Amino acid sequence: MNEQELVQAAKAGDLPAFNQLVLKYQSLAYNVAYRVMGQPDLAADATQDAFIKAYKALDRFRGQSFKAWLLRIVTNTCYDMLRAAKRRSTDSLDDVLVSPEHSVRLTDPGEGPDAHAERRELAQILQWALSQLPPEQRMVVVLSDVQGMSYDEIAQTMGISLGTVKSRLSRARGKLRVILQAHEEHLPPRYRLKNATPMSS
Amino acid sequence: MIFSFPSSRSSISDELLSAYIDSELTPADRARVEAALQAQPALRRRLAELQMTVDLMAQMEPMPVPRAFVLSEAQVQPHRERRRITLWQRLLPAATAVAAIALALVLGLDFGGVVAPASQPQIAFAPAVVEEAPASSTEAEVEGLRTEDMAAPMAASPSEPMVMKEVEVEKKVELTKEVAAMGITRAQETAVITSEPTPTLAPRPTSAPQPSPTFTPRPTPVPQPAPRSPTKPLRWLEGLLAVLVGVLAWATWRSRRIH
Repeated sequence: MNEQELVQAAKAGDLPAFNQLVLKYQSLAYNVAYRVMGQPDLAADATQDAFIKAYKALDRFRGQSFKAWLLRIVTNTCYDMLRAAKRRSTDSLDDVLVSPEHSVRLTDPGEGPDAHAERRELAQILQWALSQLPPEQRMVVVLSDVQGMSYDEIAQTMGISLGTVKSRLSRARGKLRVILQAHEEHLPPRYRLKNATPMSS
Repeated sequence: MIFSFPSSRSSISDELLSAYIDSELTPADRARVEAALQAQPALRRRLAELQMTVDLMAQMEPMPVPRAFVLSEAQVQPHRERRRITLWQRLLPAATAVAAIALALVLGLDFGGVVAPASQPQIAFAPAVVEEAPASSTEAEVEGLRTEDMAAPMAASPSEPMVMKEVEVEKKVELTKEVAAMGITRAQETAVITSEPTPTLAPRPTSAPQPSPTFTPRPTPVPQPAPRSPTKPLRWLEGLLAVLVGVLAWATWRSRRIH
């Protein structure tokens, strides 16, 4: 069955059909939740809650992009949980760098210990920098720069206009640039912003 | 210092640069940004820093999911069950009320409109029998037999024409009189009467009328067919509706008790 057929079957109460959609989108949903929440456990809870909410709200799905509709539920669930948690945004980078919560995925085979340590530190800094943004800006950066979604998809997912996507993303990138520049010593040399070479036009 | 050339010094805003990186500009804006980039080295520097930030965020690797998030029946069942029961609960009282009203209407139609006219011929027929005063003890027995025999067939087959019952009764009266004349006891009489073949739709004899020595034949009541057939479907309907009302009322009570 294709996605449309799976959605229709799920709307008719076919749970296995819905679970096929879960398997298709669980990685995307979890990663968005993880980047927004910053903690694996909270992200897993948000993802599970979002899928349950999505199943219960299938009656209200009107045939637009299922991916955008699902991600909107994920982001709203994350907002709710962030509002309830109200934490991490004031953590210092030094706390984050020693926290086991901010880890990277398992090392690639053949990757040396230095390379792995560098990758791990970069991931922790980026996650921390993201956590310093307001949730709305964090979300738009995650969808655009981490997940590679187009402005149209972001607008549909977040329920905002294209103009708002552009301005929100620009402000978020500007803040990230300032945050990362302020902690450049933790970035690998090739990612230090002062080393950025102007593009030849 | 990252912001060596603040965006306020250029005609190209950070928002335009950001959209330029994502190739989300209109052709006109894109041409304007590219023209400015050629003319302003500081703008090229801003663009490079912004592009580096975007590239950095793209370095965030996808995390493996800690577990499968597939839903179980237990996670979704309570909601679906509750929603179905809520709808069921909402409909039950209304359905009970509709069934009760329908039952009341049918009962009203039965007792008020159909049964009353149908029972009149039976009431009118009774005095016709009582009017015949027995002239002797034999006639008293005959009278008893007559009223008994009249009542039984009417109850058994109410739709049978009255004329046929009349024929039957008169035949039995004559038989009884013959038995009495022969001096047979009541028990023997009953045996004799029951051994007689039951007449079936025998036409009233018109030629050679039988002499009736002890009592004058009573006037034949005007045969009025009892229109009881319309009540039969109504009775069925009443029964069905009564059962339906009972079941719905029970279900309403039970669903409210559960929730």
